Amino acid sequence: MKKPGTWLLHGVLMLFALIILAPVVYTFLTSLKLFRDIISGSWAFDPTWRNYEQLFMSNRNSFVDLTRNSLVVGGLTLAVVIAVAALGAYSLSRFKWRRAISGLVMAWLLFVNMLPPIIFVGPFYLIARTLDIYDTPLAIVMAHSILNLPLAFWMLHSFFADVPVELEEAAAIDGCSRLQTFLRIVLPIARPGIAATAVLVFVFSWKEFLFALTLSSTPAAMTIPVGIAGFAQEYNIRYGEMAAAAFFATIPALILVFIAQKHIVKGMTLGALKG
Amino acid sequence: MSRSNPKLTRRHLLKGAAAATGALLASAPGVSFAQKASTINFLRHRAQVEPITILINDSPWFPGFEVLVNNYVDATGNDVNLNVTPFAGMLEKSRNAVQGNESEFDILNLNEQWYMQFYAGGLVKPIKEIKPDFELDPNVIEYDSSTRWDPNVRYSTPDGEIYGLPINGNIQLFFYRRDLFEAEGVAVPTTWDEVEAAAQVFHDPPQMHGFTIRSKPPNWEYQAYLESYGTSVIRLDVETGEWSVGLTAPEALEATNVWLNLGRNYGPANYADMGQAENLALMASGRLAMAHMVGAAAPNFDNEDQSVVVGNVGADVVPGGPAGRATMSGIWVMGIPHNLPEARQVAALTFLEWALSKEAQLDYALAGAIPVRQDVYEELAGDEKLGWWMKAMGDSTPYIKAQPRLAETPQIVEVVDRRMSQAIIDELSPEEALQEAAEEIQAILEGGGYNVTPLE
Amino acid sequence: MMATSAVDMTRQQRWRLSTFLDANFQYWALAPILIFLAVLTLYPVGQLLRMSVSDLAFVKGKLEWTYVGLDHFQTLRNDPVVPDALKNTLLFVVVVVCVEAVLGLLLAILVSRARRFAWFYRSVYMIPLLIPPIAIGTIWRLMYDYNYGIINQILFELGLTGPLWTANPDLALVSVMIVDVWHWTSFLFLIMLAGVESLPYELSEAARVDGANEVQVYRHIFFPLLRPTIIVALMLRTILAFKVFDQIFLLTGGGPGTSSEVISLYIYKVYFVQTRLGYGALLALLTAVIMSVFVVFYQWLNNYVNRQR
Repeated sequence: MKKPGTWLLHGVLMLFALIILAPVVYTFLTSLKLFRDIISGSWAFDPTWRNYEQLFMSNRNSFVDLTRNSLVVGGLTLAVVIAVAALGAYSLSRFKWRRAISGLVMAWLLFVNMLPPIIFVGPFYLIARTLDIYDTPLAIVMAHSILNLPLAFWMLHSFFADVPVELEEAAAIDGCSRLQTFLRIVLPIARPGIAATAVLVFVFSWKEFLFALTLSSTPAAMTIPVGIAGFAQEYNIRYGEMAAAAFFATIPALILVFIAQKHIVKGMTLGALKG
Repeated sequence: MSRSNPKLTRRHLLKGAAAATGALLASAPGVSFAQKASTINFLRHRAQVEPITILINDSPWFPGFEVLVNNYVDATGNDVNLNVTPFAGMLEKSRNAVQGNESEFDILNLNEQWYMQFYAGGLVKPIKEIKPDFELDPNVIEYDSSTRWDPNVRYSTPDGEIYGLPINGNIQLFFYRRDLFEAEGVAVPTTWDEVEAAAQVFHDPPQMHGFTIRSKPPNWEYQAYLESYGTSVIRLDVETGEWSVGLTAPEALEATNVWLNLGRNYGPANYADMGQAENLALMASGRLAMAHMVGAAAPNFDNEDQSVVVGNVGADVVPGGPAGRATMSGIWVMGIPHNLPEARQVAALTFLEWALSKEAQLDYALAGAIPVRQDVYEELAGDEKLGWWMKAMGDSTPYIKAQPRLAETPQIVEVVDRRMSQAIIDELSPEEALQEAAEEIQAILEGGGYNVTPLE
Repeated sequence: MMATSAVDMTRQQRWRLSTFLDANFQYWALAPILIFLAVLTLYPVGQLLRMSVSDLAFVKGKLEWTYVGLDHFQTLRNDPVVPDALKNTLLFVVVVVCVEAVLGLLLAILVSRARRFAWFYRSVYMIPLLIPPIAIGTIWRLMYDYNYGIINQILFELGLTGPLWTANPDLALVSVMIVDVWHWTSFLFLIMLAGVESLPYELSEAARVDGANEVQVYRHIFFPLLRPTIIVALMLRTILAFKVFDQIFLLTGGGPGTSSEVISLYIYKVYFVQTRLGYGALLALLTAVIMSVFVVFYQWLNNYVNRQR
């Protein structure tokens, strides 16, 4: 069944895959080089694991701690944001609200999203200190949650709008409560959209730098991007270590993304539920 | 041991305490194992003061600082915690620390770019208020009064109160390829004209470049040129307390032309986007004959992993112009936050005083950091491994000049960076760039409420 | 029915509670997000508005506020950097969003049609999004370097002289755009993919049975259904593009000159480095206003498209 169209299709897809992977491969190769090989401009070099050693064995903040924190922060942010945004998006997209209220909430979400994150640094630091969660993953979860809520809300709002209303009406007739309709009918149908949103929220939390830096003080709360920033020093950049850290940082995220991408494909066949 | 004996009981207690403290310390983040081990070993020294926490950035001189701290802990038994932060976060962390009721850190490391904000706002405590009879050892280099502040003039003057103590003596040096110079029989340049002459001998792109300037961002090294021509971005008449912008002086134009000439004609093709990292890489990869850069780059050239020119690089004082030589300081000072209880302030000062002693600074330098004592530089000038640049550092002390040290310095520096960057890419002529920069800086000074001489 | 976690409730009380919650579902579903917004955004935004008409100074660790009215507007008018920054930002945003939208949609459609290896493509196309932007900026700067960067090295092997990339004021913004496209196409790809995968299959089946070819199926059935998703994705990406900071900071720092200075970079310099909090606040608000213009455009587009349905 291999039509020429299929070859063309895979050809184009492979081409883009290579374009995307080329810098990643370069990063990996750089992570195996000593500084003098990185700047030599020649192709040959002696590979070394020294850069990776620096990540784990030096006196600096250990990447094992940082990865653990990143995973915790990412996971919690993901859970909080999806839960809160899904409920809110469903409420505003499906129920009758006065235009003023729904408009205000959605506009406010968007407005907050438009402000440069830097202006929230001071206030969030104060809030974290007041609640005594400074230098804990919880403070970073707090910051990441509010930063990603607008995005998640707007995305889910759009995906929920695509769910056919008739299905929900059918469920109501069958005696489901609104919550059950939400959990059992709407969410599964919107699964691709929710999976996509979940991936994005996790990824944005994973690579966020500014708040992870300012709300943490020790490796108790520092995340991977903060560790990577440590390699961009005052007057030189430790390329090798930074490449190693970047490559290493991609792996856990990639595993999670790989798991999630299965959910972005067509899930339910709608025909069975119709009528 | 089965004897039940009072002596044994006390030893038991001490061992138990040591073990418990050891366990506690072992779980403390940000403290190296060497520190932890030494603290346990020397627990029998009764700690004189409270433990302190120092905010420090992850940098090439950090290992040297760690050695300094270890030595301190060994020698005194006092506890020190190090909070290691990326450079990008240092300013914000320092600011946050001085805002609350009690500072998180006992010692702040303040960069020369922003220490003025802390001095000016009274955010760090004048040393004499902690210890009224404090005397600064004359061997400690003050880097053009970087330690001091005069609230009346709002500037670092030689008579001002001491607010901070230097810990990292970063100045500019002139690096050159000793092997190439010897092979061609060229003498080490002492003026910019001689630099150009030497650059003409060596410049052979792309495998060898004569000289490079920094353009991303340019202000730090550029100011050395201005100073070598007898002018500066801004200057203060200490008697009248009046400021003036020096960029409109004819000397500034001469200096700028020299700088542009050297950078454009003897540097790599991407001279418009050369940062410190790129300049360092160019020299370390053996493609640069001369460089004017931060002195702390020297250890990189000696590192087998990082450079292919190990042993072939020489250092000297930055060449000068008609008004002599000049090297700009870009140091780090340590300050004690104002919002600390007295016990911790005393503890912090104890550390600082110890850190500035000759023995401490000697070990500090040998471990790869940049010391701040003249006698240390002189002693190390003969060192086998470090002598080649330690001598140049020591020789540079008379020529150290400060960049503008106002609270508005980041704004002024941004103007210089932008305008000089536009000059490099020929978007503006040097005259235009200087004029525009001068007008903007004039506005900044006037806006800041300073007494300023009007521009011509 | 409801979980029997409430210990002392009678059956009737539980029934009343669940009915009450069900009837008011729309309210308590919206509550969490409102709480988040109230606690974490009202105070900072209020502060921001106050800041934009004040001068702030740190004195002895405390923030001193001085009302200055419209002074910052005056500063804005005289600021030589702002026009360049805004021009660069708008150019940057429009170009990258268009390019990424086209690429993202194309790749989403192609991937959804690929039967084998789809999992491979879906995973690989996500990779750029996963890498922290600091690393992306640094690695690409390394690749772009004229003297030892790999891009010019490869060009050299092909017999060409590579361009100056970040050192050329005419190319600096383009260099940044290239990196952004590499980095952010994944974002639009992901959303479009979810949208494409959500499309009801039977509609296209019915159309194909009726004799429509692929292009027609896409034009008349899928695109109209996809349009709302595309518009939301574009709106979100536009807002993100305005805020791009890390990668530009490392790649060019805004230079050479101001050729790649974007407004988010300048706000960082003013607000963070120069500590001119009042003026920085005004710039932040200004940027939000400009973004609102785009958002209003997108909303209008959305309504227009919906009316067409």
